Amino acid sequence: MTTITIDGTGLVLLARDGETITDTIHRAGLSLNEACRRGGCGLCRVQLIHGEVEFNRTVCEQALPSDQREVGITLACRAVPRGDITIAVPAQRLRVIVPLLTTLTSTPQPAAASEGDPPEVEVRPFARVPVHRNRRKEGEKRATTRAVAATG
Amino acid sequence: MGVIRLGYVHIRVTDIEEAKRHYTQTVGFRMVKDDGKTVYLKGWDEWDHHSVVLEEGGVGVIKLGYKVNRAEDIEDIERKSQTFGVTTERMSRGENTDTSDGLRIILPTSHVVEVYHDMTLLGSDVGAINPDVFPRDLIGIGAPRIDHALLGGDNIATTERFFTDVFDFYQVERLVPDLDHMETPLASWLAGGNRGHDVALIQGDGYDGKLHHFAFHLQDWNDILHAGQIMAMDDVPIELGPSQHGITRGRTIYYFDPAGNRNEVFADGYVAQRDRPTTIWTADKLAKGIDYVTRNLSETFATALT
Repeated sequence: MTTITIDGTGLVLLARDGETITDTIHRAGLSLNEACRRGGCGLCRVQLIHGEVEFNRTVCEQALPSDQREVGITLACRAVPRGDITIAVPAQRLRVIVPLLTTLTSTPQPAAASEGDPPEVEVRPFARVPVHRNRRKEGEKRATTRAVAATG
Repeated sequence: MGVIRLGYVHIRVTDIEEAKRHYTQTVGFRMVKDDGKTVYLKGWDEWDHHSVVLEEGGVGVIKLGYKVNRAEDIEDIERKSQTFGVTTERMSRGENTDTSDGLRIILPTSHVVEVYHDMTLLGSDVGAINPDVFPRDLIGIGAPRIDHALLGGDNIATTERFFTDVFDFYQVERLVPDLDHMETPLASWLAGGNRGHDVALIQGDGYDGKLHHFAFHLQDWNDILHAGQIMAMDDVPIELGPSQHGITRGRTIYYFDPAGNRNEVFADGYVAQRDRPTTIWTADKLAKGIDYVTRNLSETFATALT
């Protein structure tokens, strides 16, 4: 059986053949940020730390830019694990859901976290997902994301 | 006389075959032309050639088309656009399939809108002579026509003014920070005719050029539930609803197409008029405006755009 390990949580989920990360997460009674569930809005971004995934549909550049793919960021709703994987998920507890209200009612945005640490609050929905560059141990293979379908 | 209605929505989809299935089998629009990677669709109760264009490659909106009553109105809009200060270029007959010459405009929010005066007439599916009240062969939701589109912008005030000054749209509803700042639009609903809105705008960081959703018009609340039932059968992801908006009073379901573009089915909003006082929503009541019944603030409504 294929496993999905969620970094920093102690959770190891058992994934069915061919199901997306999102499908496995939901079957396990968990929830991630998500909206369209069709690979177009980019909200279900997760960081692939170990292993490989393939997309079950075309994922276009706008939904997941190349500079994010290059560092292992992937979309949970389209990514199907190829073998065991480990993912990290963005900080979920406090998040901006209506940017126009936050800018109306808040003082200047929280100071940027130090390099490598995920910010406490995902401040802007279109901001980059933090990259856990310092999480790999010595000699570990770098995570790769391989899209089977051509990317638009 | 200005723009009479939203005429067409031209969007990007990642997979043209899946998009065709969604818009013809689930939404129930008719395919009128299939150019392979670009297809043209029409609602059963629309009379012009097409109102939805799907083009393979990416997600989001390519352009919107707005119809004017007479060819002379194009020149009027061109002059007003140039006075306003937006970039325009003339478009020739046939540049868009079965569409007249017109004007292409780049909005301050980066969206492309086209203004045209004529399109090949195909007629409603029920015809114009002693018609039945709907076609016998409705498919899925059987949506009769499109209704409106909601566009995103980093700063929408100038674009709101474009629609009123150049298109002669009127302000139907507006979201403002509070009652002391009623002139600052955070979101805006504008109409040319009697629809609750032909275009709407919503403000947010990173929103320029993006599509929030476009909507199909249904008759009433029964049709909305029926649409939801079809969506369940077709495994369509639903974001909100069936419910009712406080803003526009429309009964609604927000859902996503196979590429992740947001659609809406929308019914029974009130009939708008030019002399109707503008409805104002204050930001602290946004939840009531979007989902009047639950008054829960949707997590994804203002964060998922394509």
